[in-house]
Amino acid sequence: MKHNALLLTFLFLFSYGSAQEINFINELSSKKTVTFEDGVKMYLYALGRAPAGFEANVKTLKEMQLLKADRYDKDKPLSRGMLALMVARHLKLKGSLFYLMFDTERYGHRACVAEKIMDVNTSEWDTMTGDELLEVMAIVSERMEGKQ
Amino acid sequence: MKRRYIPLTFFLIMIFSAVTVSAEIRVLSVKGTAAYKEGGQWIPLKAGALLKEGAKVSTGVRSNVEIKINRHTMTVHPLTIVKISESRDDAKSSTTRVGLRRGSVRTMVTRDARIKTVFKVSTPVATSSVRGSGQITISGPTFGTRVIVLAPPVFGEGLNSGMKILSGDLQLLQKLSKGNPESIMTGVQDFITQTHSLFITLDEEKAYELFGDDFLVYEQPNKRSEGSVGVPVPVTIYLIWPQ
Repeated sequence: MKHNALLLTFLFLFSYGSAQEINFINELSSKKTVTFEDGVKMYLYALGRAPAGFEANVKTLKEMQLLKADRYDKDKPLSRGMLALMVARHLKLKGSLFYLMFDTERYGHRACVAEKIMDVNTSEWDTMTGDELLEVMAIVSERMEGKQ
Repeated sequence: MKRRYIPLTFFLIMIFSAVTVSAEIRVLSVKGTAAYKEGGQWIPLKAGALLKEGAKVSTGVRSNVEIKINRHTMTVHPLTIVKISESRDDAKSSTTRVGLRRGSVRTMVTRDARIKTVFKVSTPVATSSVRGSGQITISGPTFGTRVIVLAPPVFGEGLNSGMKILSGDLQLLQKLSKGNPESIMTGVQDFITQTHSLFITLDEEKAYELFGDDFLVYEQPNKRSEGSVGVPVPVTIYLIWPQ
C-alpha cells in the first residue's frame, strides 16, 4: 500500500515536471526577446535538472562553474555572448585561442562560432529570441550526448 | 424495403471511403517529454496514441518521438515543433505534408512502385520532397534549413531557387536572410582534398602536370568561333568519397 502511494506520487511529480518543461519550451518559442532568467532555466532543463527559483538556478550553475559573476539581473535580455560563455565553459570549448586566454563573452562567442554552435553572422551583443535560444540548446544537448 | 437500405448503404460507403482516404497517424514510441496539440491545448504524448491531420507535436530536451504516418516513419528529434498538415492514403497514392517550424525530423519513406508517393517536409524557408528514401531536415532561425540525405535522391527547393537533386553527403542549406540557398557542395567541401586523374590518359596526365588544365579546351576545332563562346558543354565529373 505504502509502495503504491510512493509510486503514484513519483509518477505524478514526474508527469507534472514533464508538462512544466514542455509548456516552458512552447512559451519560450513565442518570445521575441528572452531574459537571462529564461536562459538559465533552459540551461538547467538541458542539463537534466529540475529548475527551482532564479537564485537557486544561478547557484546550481555557479557550482558547476558555468556562471562566475557575483550578481546577475534576471530581467536582463539574454545576449548571445552570455549564453556563449556558459556553453563554452560547459563544453570546455577549445576552438578559440583567445577564449582560452580570456574567459569573456566576446571570445566565448568566437569559440561557439568556431565549433559551429553559433552562426558566424551573429554577434555577442545580439539579444536572443526564444527560437534562437532553443536552436542553440538543441545543438548543445546533441554535443553533450556525444561527450557522454 | 429496398429504400430502407439506401441510408445504410450510404453510411457504409462513407465509412469505407473514410478508412481508405484518411491515413493512420500513430505514435510508435516516445522517449523523454513530448506533447501534441489538437485544438488549443498541449496534451502529453504517449506511445500508441492516434493523431489527426493538423496535429502539432512538440518535444522537450533529450526527447524523441517516432510516428508512423501511412506506411512511412518520422522521428521527431529534441526541441522540435512539427505539424502534420496532410496525410492521405489509398491504393494508388499516398500524400503526406509536414511543416517543420523548428528543430529536426528524420523521415523514412517506404517505396512502392505502384503507389504514387508524395512526402514533403516544409520549413519557413524551404521545401524538400522525399522520394522513397530517408532524410534529415533541420530548421532554425539562424542556421536556416538544412536537408541531409541518408539514401538515394531527394529534391530540395529554396526560397527562390529551382529544384535541386540531393544525394550522398550533399546538403541543401537555405538561410532566411538570403534569397538563394548555399551551394549544395558546402557541407562536403572539407572532404575534397584533390581532383583525381583516374579518368584521363597518361598523355593527358603528363600535359596536365606541364600546363595545368589550360589545355583542356572542350570546343570542337571546326566550330571555333566567337559564336560558340558561352555554349553550355556537358561535363561528367566523377567524385570518389572517402570510406
